Amino acid sequence: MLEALAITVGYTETPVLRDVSLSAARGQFIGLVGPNGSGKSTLLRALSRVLAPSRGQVLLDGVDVCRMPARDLARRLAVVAQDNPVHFDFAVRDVVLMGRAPHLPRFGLERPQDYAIAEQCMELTSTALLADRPITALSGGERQRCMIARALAQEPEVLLLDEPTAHLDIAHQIEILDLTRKLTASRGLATLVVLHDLNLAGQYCDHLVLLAEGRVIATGRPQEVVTETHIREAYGAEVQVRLHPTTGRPYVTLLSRMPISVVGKRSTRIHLICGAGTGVELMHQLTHLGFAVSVGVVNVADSDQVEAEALGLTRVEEAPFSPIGDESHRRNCDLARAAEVVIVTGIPFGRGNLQNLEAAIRARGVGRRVLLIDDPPIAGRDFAEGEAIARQRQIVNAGAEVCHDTAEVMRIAEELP
Amino acid sequence: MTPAPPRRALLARLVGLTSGLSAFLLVTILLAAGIGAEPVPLAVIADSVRRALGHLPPGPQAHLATIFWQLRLPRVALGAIVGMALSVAGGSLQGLLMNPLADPYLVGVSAGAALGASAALLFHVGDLGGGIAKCLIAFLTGAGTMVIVLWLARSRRRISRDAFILAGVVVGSFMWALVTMVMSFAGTDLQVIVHWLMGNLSSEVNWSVVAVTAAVSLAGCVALYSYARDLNLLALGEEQARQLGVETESLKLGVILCSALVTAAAVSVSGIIGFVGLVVPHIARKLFGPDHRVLLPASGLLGAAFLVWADTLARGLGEYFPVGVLTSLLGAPFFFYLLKRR
Repeated sequence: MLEALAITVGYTETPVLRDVSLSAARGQFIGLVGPNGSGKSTLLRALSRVLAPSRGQVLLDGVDVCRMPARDLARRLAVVAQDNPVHFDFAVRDVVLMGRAPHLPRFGLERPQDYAIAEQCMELTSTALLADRPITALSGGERQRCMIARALAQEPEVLLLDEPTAHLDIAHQIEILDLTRKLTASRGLATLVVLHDLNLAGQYCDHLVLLAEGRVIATGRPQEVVTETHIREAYGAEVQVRLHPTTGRPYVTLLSRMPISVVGKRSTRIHLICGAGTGVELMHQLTHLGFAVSVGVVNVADSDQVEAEALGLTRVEEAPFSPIGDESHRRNCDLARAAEVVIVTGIPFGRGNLQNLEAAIRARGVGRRVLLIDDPPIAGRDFAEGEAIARQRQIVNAGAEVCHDTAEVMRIAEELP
Repeated sequence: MTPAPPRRALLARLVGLTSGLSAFLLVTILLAAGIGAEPVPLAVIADSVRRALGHLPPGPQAHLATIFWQLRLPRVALGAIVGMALSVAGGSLQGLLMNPLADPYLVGVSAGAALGASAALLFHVGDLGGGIAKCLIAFLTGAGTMVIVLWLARSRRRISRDAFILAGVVVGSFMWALVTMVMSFAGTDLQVIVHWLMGNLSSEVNWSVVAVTAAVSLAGCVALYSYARDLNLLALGEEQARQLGVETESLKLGVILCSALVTAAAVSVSGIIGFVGLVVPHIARKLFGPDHRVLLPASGLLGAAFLVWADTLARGLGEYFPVGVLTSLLGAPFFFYLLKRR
């Protein structure tokens, strides 16, 4: 119903958007994401006829919006701006009634049905209780809901929202997105919403458009758009993307790109056997103390692997969610033997990664100092029917030291040369 | 099903408000026309009005009736028209520019009109046609200045409101410099020019001037009123107003042209009467709310009554006491109060 066909838009000679195309159909809830300055708000301005594209067209049911009178467009398309400074203290009801303006004759007053529609829109957005309050006296979230009520009073077919959740706390963010999503479905709107938060966007939208530097980088279902590669390309940021176990939607974890400050240099080489995020803290602290740290066997995209890669540590990697193969096991043993100290974290063990304990046994066998972190205790993380417990006992019998937590390991590490 | 919504009858409110304020204005006009060095009692006024309406011959107190009809009423009527024009123009410009400090003189019209009037007085062409020439010149130079300001503020087919305010202030300062220059050449005419600049209703008291001013001002005010709802939408911001179907560029052009027109009409017959166009809309907004559909007529009627009372007081303080001094003396403290409250 609303289509942008290869539009190029700008405020000056330099375009902010180049060749951007998208389309929104009735009942679709589309998220517009992208870094600051990528042209999201500009795109909404172009779609709502505030800016005319220098090339390309914006079509509403096949008609160029720039050729539509402002009033005709306002009857079909409503916009909720990012921040809404209202000059003069109009009552909330009056502001919502302003949404009826495009439907009124030039010199006509509001008719009873206009009041009814405004009232209904206030009920929907739970602003009815605020009806007689001056809009200037409301909080950011209340005002945002009033503006949504006003947009709904326009009875639009297309709803554009520019960061409706900005400045709102988490509860209000959810409230606003739930509301707009529900209305999109119940009224058959085509809704386009600019969102800053990739997780909210991934969770709420059926379809995402990722913009960067004025171009569409990716478009499609959230799991197709929110990927580590796309986000690196668009934001230049390292993130970790997972599919949420219950919703199946992508969620993003930010990874710090702050370099670790290294105090001094130590000669001891430490091999860290970890996985499932159990080694992240130690990697940081040991690197910080100046040890040469290697990491073994971690699955690609596991948080330990991501962190080791970020810190630039020597590591043995295995394909995501795969058991440790022979080649990886051999290299893990080599790294463990090459180190003076081997640390085994409280990894959950299954059949796929028992070799990690095997590597520690061998290292102990050739006289390496082995520190076992039994946190949580092995009994709770043995998913290999007692084999992990057996092997841990074997290592301890061979002279490995058992530590109860990371802090204890660090106390030992600080004494090392 | 939600219960029937409370429909606030804007129309009823509007009718009640305007008829109430109109009645107040009418009483003001009749009372004010009676007050003066030679008081005209209400009974005489009533009798005279009755005779005039019934085309009857003049009554026993014909000289008082003449004072009422030929001296007092034209001046009082002119005061009402000027007060209305300035207040409606000020209210519209405050709405358009979203600037509480906006007033009709911001457009540069007053400075331009002042230049025209003072030049006309300097070259002694002002008195041609019983002062009509001076008014006409002031009107034309005022309107001409507004055209310059608009031209400066418009770029790429858009009027930027900030640029408009700046252009108005800058062109205004330039024009005032020229006025000062004219005054330095004025010699014995200086007093006449200063008197005109200070703003007064004493000079142009004849019915033809009143009629022309009334026609121009009323037409301009009606035109401004037609923009009232669009001005409401503009309170949401220019972009939002456009997204609600307002053609903002034609709105800006229309409001600026109309308010310049009525301001030029007012200034050309009364000089620079300050603060009415600034303060009256603020008072009306406090009393009746921000909806321009109510605010503009309320401002107009309040402003008319305010200026009539101020002029009556000025007349009481001396024949040549300029009402512009009085409105500023009353308006400035009130404005300080508004500023302090913000």
